[in-house]
Order: sequence, then structure tokens, then C-alpha cells
Amino acid sequence: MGPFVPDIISNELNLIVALIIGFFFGFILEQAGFSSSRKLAGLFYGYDFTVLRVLFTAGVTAMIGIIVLSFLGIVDWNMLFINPTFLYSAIIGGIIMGAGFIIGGYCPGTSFAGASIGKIDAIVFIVGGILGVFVFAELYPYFKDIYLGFDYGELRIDKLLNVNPGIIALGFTLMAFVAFIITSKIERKVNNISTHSKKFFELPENKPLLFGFAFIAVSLILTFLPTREVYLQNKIEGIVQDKGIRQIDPLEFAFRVIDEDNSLLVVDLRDRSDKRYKTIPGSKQIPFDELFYRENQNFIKKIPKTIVFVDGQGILSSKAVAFANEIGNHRTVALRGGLEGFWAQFQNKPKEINQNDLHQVAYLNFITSAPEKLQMLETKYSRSGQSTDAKPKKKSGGC
Amino acid sequence: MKTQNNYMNPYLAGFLLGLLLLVTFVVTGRGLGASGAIKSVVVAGVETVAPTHAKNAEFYKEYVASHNEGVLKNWLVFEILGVIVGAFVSGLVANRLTWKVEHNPKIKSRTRLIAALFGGMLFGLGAQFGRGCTSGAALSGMAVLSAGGVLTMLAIFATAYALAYIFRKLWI
Repeated sequence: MGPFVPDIISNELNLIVALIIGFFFGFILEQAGFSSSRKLAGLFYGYDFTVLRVLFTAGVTAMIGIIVLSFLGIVDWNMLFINPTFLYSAIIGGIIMGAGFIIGGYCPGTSFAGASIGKIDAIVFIVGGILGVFVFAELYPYFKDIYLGFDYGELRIDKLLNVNPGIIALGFTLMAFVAFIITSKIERKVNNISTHSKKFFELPENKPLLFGFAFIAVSLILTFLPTREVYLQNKIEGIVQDKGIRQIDPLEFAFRVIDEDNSLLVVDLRDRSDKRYKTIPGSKQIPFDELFYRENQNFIKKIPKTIVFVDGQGILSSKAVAFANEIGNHRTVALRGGLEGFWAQFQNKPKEINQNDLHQVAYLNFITSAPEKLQMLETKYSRSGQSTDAKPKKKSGGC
Repeated sequence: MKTQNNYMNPYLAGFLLGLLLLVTFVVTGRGLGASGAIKSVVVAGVETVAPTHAKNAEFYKEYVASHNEGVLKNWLVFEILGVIVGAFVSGLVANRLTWKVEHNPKIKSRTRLIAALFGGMLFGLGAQFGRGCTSGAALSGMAVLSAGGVLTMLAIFATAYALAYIFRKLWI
């Protein structure tokens, strides 16, 4: 499951990958004509909309690809670098770059393409870019508040609007399609080319149209695709209802925890902020939503111990067991009755017991002493720092 | 599949660029970029020329701290080296290799160079605030549905259109 860095491809090899990817990036930019500032600036005066065509087609293609590959489980969207949203910094940066674009005629990527084929203005643009970064670096203390302020994290448009990602893709595809048609008309008008001329399209004009329709059809289908998380959760819902989930009895569980049974690993599925019930000593915290992260999936698949999933009432833990089954670990169990039931069992002591029944005596002794023993374990684990919190590491990126 | 002036059909180029971006995400977990390489060069330059300053000023300190393998041994630096070679090869096969200052015949090449320098400066500055340029923020951000990336893209193009009239002499 992608991304392949850093698990399959090492960071060293990744630099070679960077060279190769860069080669194709530069080749395509130059082939598209992005090495010419006058061609780029055409976008803003209506005489050449190449930038719009290339940028939009590329964006929509990659977007549709990511939605499909993520749904198929080939790439984990949660592990991809998503430009974080710092609201005002993003807008201010865009405004300054927009001014730079119309004045300088290049953007950084295209200026490298231009410089490579001998455009002196592109080289000067790069020198300007270096000065610009330098200015930012020197004045960073003054910019810091706005640069780091209004942090919305890795905000995704589909999550923001609470729709399937495919709907956003369809929106972008339709927007691109309409923009292509309108701008082609504007372009011909500005350049005084009659509508019937094929000068701007070597391909017959209906063929790009055909591609456009194909894209729209694909993204239309995609609108029905939920994200992989939602898809898996729905599927799990079905499994939970269809068959019984393997559960562990709270009393047996308490006994084995106090016994420090090493064949068990307790995974606490509650949100990090949920403190309603005490945690099980030595448990590992993986909030339910993060089970789908690749690192946690690998962990669940490979752990040689029996995982006991626990949560507040035992609802999420059943789903987690179904999910573990789904990805190939059939040895996990859910704590019956959740943490609520677990801690309650020590409160409901039988009022009267038959002193001659050894079972009953042992039971009473156990549940009376259990809370204290658990407390001792908790102290022991927290001192040795065994209670672990799993937070997946992500590839950093950005421009 | 070439248009009249020997450039690739823009839709085909866009499709190929999209596939490349997709492969980049699947393989490396990140998108394409460009301005980040300039940033690495700036930090490396300051480190060499004024090492004490680089150790004290916050921006360089933070950057160096987060790049423990050396500032130039960086994904984007290598990617941009690739871009330079790739674009050169493309220019070679398309017979477009020539030293020149490309500009609107109505302006002097000096004017064009001053504008390019100034525009580059603004782009370099803006790319820091936007956490990426047209490649890293706009294109790569759009592909993974990043709200910030798309916002930056809209701001770039809206501003460029808004200012187009003022700077029309540079281009038409």
C-alpha cells in the first residue's frame, strides 16, 4: 500500500526517485510551452490559455487517480502530504504570488524550465525568487504570527463540506470543462481566428470534447464512492450485524490483566479526550478513526499477541474486531460491555454469599481486591512509560 | 500530437502531468514542488556566507533543525535538478535551445529583466506565506483536495487577473 517512502523505498533511493520525477516534470513543462513567459502570461490577456488547460487537466487527472487508488486501498490518503491550511497566510501568499506572476511572467517551476533552455529572463526571475525567500527569512520574526496563525490543519475540501471526495472531483471536472470551452472561444476571438479554423488544435476539435466527456463520466461515477474509511466502516457494520464478534468476559479479562498475561495486548479505542472511564493499565491507545491508518493496520496485522479492543460501551470494539478480521487478524477479541461494564463489575458485590462455596468466596475476594491491584499496575506502567500512544508519522512535504 | 508552434497538445500535456503527479504521490507520499528548492538554496547560502547569523536567526535555525541530513540533500532540490535536465532535453529535441531575453517587442529587454527580478522576488516571498507555489500549493494541493492549496491557487489567479490591466504594457 502506497506511499512507498519510507517503508519500501529508502530515503536515499528517494532522492534518485526525485531526480527521475523531476526529469519528467521538467520535460512535460517545457513540452507544454511553460518555458515561455509570454505564453504563460497569455492566460491573463486571453491570447493563450495553455496554462489553464494544462493545470486543470493535470489537477483533475491526479485528483481522480487519488480518489480511485485510495478507495482501492492502493494508496493511503491519510499518509499523503496535504498542504495544511493556515487561512490568512494562504490568502496573503496567493495574493503576493499573483502579483509576482503577472509582473514576472513565470512561477518558480516554470522559471526553471525556462532557464534550462536559455531564457535569461527566467534566470533573473530565479535570482529574484532567491531574494524573495531571503527577505522572508530575514523578516520572519515579523511575519511569524500571520504565518503560523489561523491554523486549520490538514483541511480537506470534501471533509469540510462533508461530501464524498468524488463530488468535489466532479465539480472541478465540470468547472474545467466549461472553462476549456469558454476560454477557447475567447482565445480565438482575441487572436482573430475564425471559429472554423483548426489552428489552435491539431486534434480535431471534437476529440478534446470527447476526452472531456470521458472525464465527466468517470468523476460522475466517483461521486458514489465514499472514502475508504467510510466504506470499510459500512462494511464492518454489516459484519458486526451478520455474525457474532468474539468477545472476552470482563471477569476473565480482569483476571488476566492483573495476572499480567503477556499474550494479551489491550488497545483502547476511545478518543484521546474521552476520560469517562479509567483506562486499563498498560493499554495502547489507538482512537477508532485511526485504526485505518496504514501504520496501525500493519501493527494489527503483525502483532503476535491477542489484541483486546476496549472502548466505553463495547460498540466500537466489536467493529474493531470485525475490521481486524477483515484485514487478516482473526485472533482479536472485544471486551464485552466495554469499560463501563468492566469497572462496574467491581461495584456490584453480592450482598450475601455462601461461605462454604469456595467459588463464591474466591470471586468476592477477587473483585474486592481487583481495583487496588489494577491501581498498582497502573502506577507501575505509568512509571515505566509503558502505556503508549500511537500516532502515525507522516511524510513531510510541501513546496 | 503537436500544435502549430511545436508544443505538445495542452490537454495531453496536462494528462501526462496529472499522471506524473499521481505517481509522485503514490511513490513518495508528497506532491511536486519548486519553491522549496529555492528555500533550501537560500538557507544553504546563508549558512555558508554568514554561519553565525544562520545559527541565531529563527527562520534558518528552524529550517536547519528540521533538515538534519543537510539542507541541500533534500527531495525538492533533487527534483529541481531533474527538472532542469528534463526541460533541457525537451528544449533540445524541440530545437528551442537559445540564449535570449524573451519579451514583448514593445518593451526594452532591460524592462523585462527588471520586471522578472521583481516578479521573482514577490513569488519567492509569497510562496513562503502560501507554503508552496503553483506546483506545491496549487497543483499538488488541488490533487489531494487541500483547502489551503486551492485557496492559495484562487488567490494567485484572482490577483493576477485583477492586476493584469495595470501591467498590460509588459505583455501586450
